[in-house]
Amino acid sequence: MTRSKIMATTAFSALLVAGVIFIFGIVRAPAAHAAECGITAGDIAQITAIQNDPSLSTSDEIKQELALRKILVGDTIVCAEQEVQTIQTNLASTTAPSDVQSLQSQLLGNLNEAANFYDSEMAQLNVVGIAGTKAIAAQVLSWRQSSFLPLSEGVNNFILWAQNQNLFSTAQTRMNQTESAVAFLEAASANPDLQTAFNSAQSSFNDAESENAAAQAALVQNLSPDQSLALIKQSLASLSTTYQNLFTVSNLINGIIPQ
Amino acid sequence: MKLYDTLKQFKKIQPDAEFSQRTRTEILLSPQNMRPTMRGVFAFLHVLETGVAVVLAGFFILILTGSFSPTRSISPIQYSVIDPQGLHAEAQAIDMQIQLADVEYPQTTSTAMTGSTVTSTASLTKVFAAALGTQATSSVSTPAATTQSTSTASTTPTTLTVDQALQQLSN
Repeated sequence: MTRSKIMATTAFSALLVAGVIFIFGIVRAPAAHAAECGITAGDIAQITAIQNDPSLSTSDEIKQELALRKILVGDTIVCAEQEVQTIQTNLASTTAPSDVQSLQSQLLGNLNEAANFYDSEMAQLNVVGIAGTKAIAAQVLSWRQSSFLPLSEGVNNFILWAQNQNLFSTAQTRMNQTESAVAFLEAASANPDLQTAFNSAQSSFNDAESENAAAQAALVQNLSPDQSLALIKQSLASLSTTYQNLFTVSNLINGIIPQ
Repeated sequence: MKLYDTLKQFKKIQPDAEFSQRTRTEILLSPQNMRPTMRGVFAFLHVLETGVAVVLAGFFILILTGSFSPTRSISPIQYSVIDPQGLHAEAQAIDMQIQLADVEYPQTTSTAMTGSTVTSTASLTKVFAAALGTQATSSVSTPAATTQSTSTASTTPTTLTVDQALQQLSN
């Protein structure tokens, strides 16, 4: 292989890896950012500071605490809304196969409902007292744990699965090319090692495909996010094994054909 | 029989040289009445001929310069099958995706962020004062609030997750 060819191949590899890193960044980083809020422990501590301030009358103390609580709960809900918007943007920009696009639309609809819930809670915040702000915070927290967390995890799994389909498509093409090469070489001269290595690659690829299909079914059937993610991970692990076997096949072919 | 011999003599009839030259010249100088469709076909074939010549010339140039390897392109074994760099790149992309799948959902984790608390507290105090109006503004600048603001700036700030903030605000 000439130097220019090596450089071209290396550049292609670098681009591919950079692309994955880029996708890694745009998909996960906003989620991590959105999960944090501008609210700090110090901000929350100001409530206690007001409660313990001896210079404040009871009336002023209540007024200040209520105003502060409304700001803090409101800011937190705004953070949560931004989180929804980020997830919505990521999901909407994901290219999914046609047979799961209805699921993608359904998830986008669920995220719209989540945004509406936050709007509703934010509106209630204007007309409540201190106990009311506490109740709203507790209600939003409870809803997030029971409804939003599974939804957001489901969306993350969907995006992950959709991204995997390009990897599977590339692997399928490589399997087809390798199969033709192995068949040609086997026709010329039987090589048990080569055939065994290719059979192993084919077997692990079949496993990966069936696990990938199972992951799709889990997403469509709205099974728990943990189940979907486990299947996605299994399919990727099998795909990785497939490539390990393809390396073996490639090395064997390199040893057979004249360079 | 005499008639037959006479007829055989006809085979020897030839035009004189002057007539032959004159008629040949007239025929060659007369316009060619070729049908338009035939003319189009010939024009197309001419272009095709030129195109094929150019392609062949390019092909031979590629072979001579070594940029084209017939054995690789025509071979039943595609080069990509035995290209370890391409295989490695694809395998690496899968490994990256596996790492992506292993990333836990960040909602349940708390991440410390330095440098944001002072700004956050200052802006919060400002909004808080505006919300309370003039009378409350004087209350906000009480020693308690000032002390809190100062002490917050001096401690290590921790940005809360949405759920952590909600948890604390619900109590």
